[in-house]
Amino acid sequence: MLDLTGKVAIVTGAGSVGPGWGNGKATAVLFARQGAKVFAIDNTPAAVEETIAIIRGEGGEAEARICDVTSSAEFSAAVEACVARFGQLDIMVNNVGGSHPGGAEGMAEEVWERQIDFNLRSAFLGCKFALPHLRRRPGSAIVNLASIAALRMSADRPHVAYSASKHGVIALSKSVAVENARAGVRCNTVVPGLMHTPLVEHRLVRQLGANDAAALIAKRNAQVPTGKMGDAWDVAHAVLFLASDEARYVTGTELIVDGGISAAMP
Amino acid sequence: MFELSGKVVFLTGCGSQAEGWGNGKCIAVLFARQGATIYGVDLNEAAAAETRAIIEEEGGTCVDVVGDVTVAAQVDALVADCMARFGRIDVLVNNVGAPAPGDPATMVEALWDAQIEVNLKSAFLCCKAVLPIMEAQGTGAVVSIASTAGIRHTGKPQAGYAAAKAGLIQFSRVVAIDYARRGVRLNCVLPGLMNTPLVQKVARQFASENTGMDLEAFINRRHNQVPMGHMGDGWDVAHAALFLASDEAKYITATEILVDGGLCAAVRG
Repeated sequence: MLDLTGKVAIVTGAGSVGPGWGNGKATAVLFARQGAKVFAIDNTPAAVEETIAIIRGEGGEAEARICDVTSSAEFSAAVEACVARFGQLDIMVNNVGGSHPGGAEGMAEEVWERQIDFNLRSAFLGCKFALPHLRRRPGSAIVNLASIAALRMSADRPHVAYSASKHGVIALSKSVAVENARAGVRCNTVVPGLMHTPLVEHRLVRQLGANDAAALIAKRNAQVPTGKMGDAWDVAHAVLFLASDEARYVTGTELIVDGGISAAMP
Repeated sequence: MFELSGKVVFLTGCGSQAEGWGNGKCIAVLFARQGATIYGVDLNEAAAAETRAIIEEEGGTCVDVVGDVTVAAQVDALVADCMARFGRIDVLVNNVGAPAPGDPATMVEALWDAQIEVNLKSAFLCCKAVLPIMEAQGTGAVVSIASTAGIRHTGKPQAGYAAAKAGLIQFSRVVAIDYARRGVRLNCVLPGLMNTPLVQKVARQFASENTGMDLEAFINRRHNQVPMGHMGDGWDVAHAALFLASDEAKYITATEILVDGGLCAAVRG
């Protein structure tokens, strides 16, 4: 089930920003466990090397690539390097992203632009550079990562550019999906809700201090209808399903992984 | 991955209405292959027995029972029978459903009621009987097979079917929130245009009634409506249902997976 043997996958943001399991790291390791060769992209050498070491330690095959996915030249070269190394590309996971707090009035224009670059332009470039290779492979797929921040808004913690860019990722995916449906390339989006990942912990502790971070984590758990945030493996399994041949008729849609939060009113 | 060993699945509509692989039959066989014990209900005795025979031939476990899940007393008896045999229900799959033409001006009231009963009330009755069992277990997953007809016009008048399927989607979402802290997840699969035995039957009906189109032309038109260029099949639906039923989907509740080849993402050509 969900066998990826013989497939080559690129995962961007495949390193974790802190100890533990981020979405990209969990996805890369899970893909390798399912038999895929993983080309792991990250902008932090130590982080991606850790992911690679885990995969190789488990007997899997993976290559690391340091790359800034907001740079067209670097990203394009990374995708070509993947195909040069493994001979093909079957799955593209555009996982890079991160939020910057702020509402429309207070956000500096440069921050807005960096957020759009980081969250949306990176996914566009991933699709752009991967598609020519994906079209050559049967059963190929793109999975993009959005966020429920695209669908539901927090009154006390707005992140206007993040919400806009992640909503853009959903539309990007649908458009790529419909355009490439007959060419045999599927494209879908995973929409995670409140997750307990290193990115959250790392950033919150930095922004708020450890005690306040613990309080915020408790508050976030309470916000979720299930009573608990999800983790990186929840996201990774959704990405895996959408990337797999078992999802061969699933395209142009979103899979929400949020413990029900987007279905409930505040 | 997607291991269901030791789990008991209560599945409605486990037989196929005609030769071939319908959603329910695929779900039954796939879930049994993953190790689940299947308690399969169907109106049609022969169809249910065929599904059981396939599962048994593959070495799986399946009990097939004839029943009408639009009738509360029958649902209660079926659920009690399943509990008496296996002692638990881990997964409920609300798969029964059937479309009918539906222009409110011409649709008789009895047909409207029948559409709501088979497509929506059946899921309510099964949840009513099964949710307390899952709550007592502290764990359970409900997967309801809705339809893209619940969120889009399908190209033909089906007011009762569309309203019932839309109702099923929102029913599943709100009950999911109510049960989120009790360990029970509820989700829907929304199949688009599928080439299943039921659809072949409906297509034959629509083709002859409305368009004068022959069956092959009708089927080809349906293939071409889909961005991927072809209809899906029962296995596509079954794999999505399996993911939602599995422990790997533990953080997924109150939502839907569309299995439609991009149909709902596209605008009319």
